[in-house]
Amino acid sequence: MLTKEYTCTACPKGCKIEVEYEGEEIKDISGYSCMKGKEYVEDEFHDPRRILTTTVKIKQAKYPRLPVRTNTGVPKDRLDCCLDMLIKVELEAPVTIGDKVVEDVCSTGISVVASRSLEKKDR
Amino acid sequence: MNKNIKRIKKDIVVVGGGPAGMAAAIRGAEEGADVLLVERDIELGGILNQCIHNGFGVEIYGEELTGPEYAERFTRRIGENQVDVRLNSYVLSLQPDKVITLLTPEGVFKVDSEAVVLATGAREKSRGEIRIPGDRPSGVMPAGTAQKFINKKGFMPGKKVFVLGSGDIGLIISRRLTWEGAEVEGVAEIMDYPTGLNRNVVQCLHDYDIPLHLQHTVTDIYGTDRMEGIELSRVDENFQPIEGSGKDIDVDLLLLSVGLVPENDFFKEAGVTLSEKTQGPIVDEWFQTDVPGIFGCGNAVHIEDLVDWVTMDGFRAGDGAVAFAGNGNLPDPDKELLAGGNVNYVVPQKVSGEDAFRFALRVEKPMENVNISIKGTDVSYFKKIVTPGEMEVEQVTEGDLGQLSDLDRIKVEVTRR
Repeated sequence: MLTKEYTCTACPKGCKIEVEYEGEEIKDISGYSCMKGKEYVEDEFHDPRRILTTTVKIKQAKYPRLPVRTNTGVPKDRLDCCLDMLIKVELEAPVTIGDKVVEDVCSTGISVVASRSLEKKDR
Repeated sequence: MNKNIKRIKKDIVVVGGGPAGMAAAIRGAEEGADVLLVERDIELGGILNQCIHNGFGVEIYGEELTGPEYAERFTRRIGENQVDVRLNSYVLSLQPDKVITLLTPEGVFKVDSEAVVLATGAREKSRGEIRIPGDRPSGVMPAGTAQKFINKKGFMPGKKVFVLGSGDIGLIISRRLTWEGAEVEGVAEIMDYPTGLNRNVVQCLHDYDIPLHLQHTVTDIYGTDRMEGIELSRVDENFQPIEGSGKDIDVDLLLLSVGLVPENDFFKEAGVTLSEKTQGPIVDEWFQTDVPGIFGCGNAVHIEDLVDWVTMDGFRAGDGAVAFAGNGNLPDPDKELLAGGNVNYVVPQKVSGEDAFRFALRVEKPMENVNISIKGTDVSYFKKIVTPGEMEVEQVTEGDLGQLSDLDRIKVEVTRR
């Protein structure tokens, strides 16, 4: 049997929770002090996800970068692919908050959207 | 020449267009006051605009917005109300009688105001304030400054990075730098626990195998023009570096995430009494200072963890400013609110006891299964866990006020259940 240790993020206590597993299957979970902790490690074990927030290049705006985000978590092992993809994106102002910047980023089915509006800079 | 300076009148002047100032201005305008909002930057939003990560707005909206998203919602609300917004503008002086001299792109103005809300935010501590010895190469900067370079300007300030301080800014910038292709060699924390949120320790450090060196500090900096490295040393229980424990780490950037200090210059200029603990003004439950009609809110008063609390305090200060501008006074805050056992500080520091109020506190050390309680009353709030890294905010209700009426000094303490 293999084990993995997690630090729970559900509250400031940060319980150290140990998962015993075989292949894809959890055999035992220990060290949690509430059900939130148990759910947290189950999610982290089977499908860890993170919201991605970064910037992309933008032309003709008052700043050279536009902040962007995913609205749902991206599988953790796809984050690098998304970052590599987004570094190549270059937009032109104006952009409105919520505008789709990239659809289905790295075949995750998840969209990357603008996290603010940026007007076209007047000359 | 003075005769040529235009003189205008406003009910309320709000200084600073970050989340605190925007909330105060919105509340003032919603209640019919003539409000002037002064911001030195080219847009409203303050520090939110560079905090591109999510996690803002959980208390107010029940959503995890990014900083720019949160800022845009409030900027829109400013636009929907009649607020006179002056961008690229700066307060040159503030007199105790609430006459403000204002520098704007349209010229210099004198503003006569009934109430002033100072929402000037905070400054990051710099190398000089924590006295790191060594050479003085380029490549040492506060973490928030690096955040601004990366997120707003698109510059990378370094390639191999060390971060001093495990506050949330230090943790979040570590992930940000990693995502932008830098190598973060480690984070040092002088305490024996991380001072930022646990979630950030996991998602910003553990996720990328960035080492966290607890009970360590930076004891030397090397380099002539550009930084070449630092010395990391273990500290003893008195936070003094242990001789012989130092090891060198090659980096070209050292980021400091070692705390914020309220931007308190205007409070001083107006003759407001400051708190030694917070370095912000001493305030009452309306966030009024001891100079009548001068209010403060947000990080200018004390360093908060959540923008949601900043916004709520801004609304409250706005309410206070409206009431003061209308009546010329507020209930007398004749009761002191004091920090008792395991409480580092409490804000507000005084209350009238005539109205329900919220108070915020920070504990001195982590503790589990505690009651936050008001001594000599049965007003008490149970917490599973408290840590210095997380501010606690509690509400004293109308119903609780009866128990406070006989107290001149209200002591808040944190005790094990």
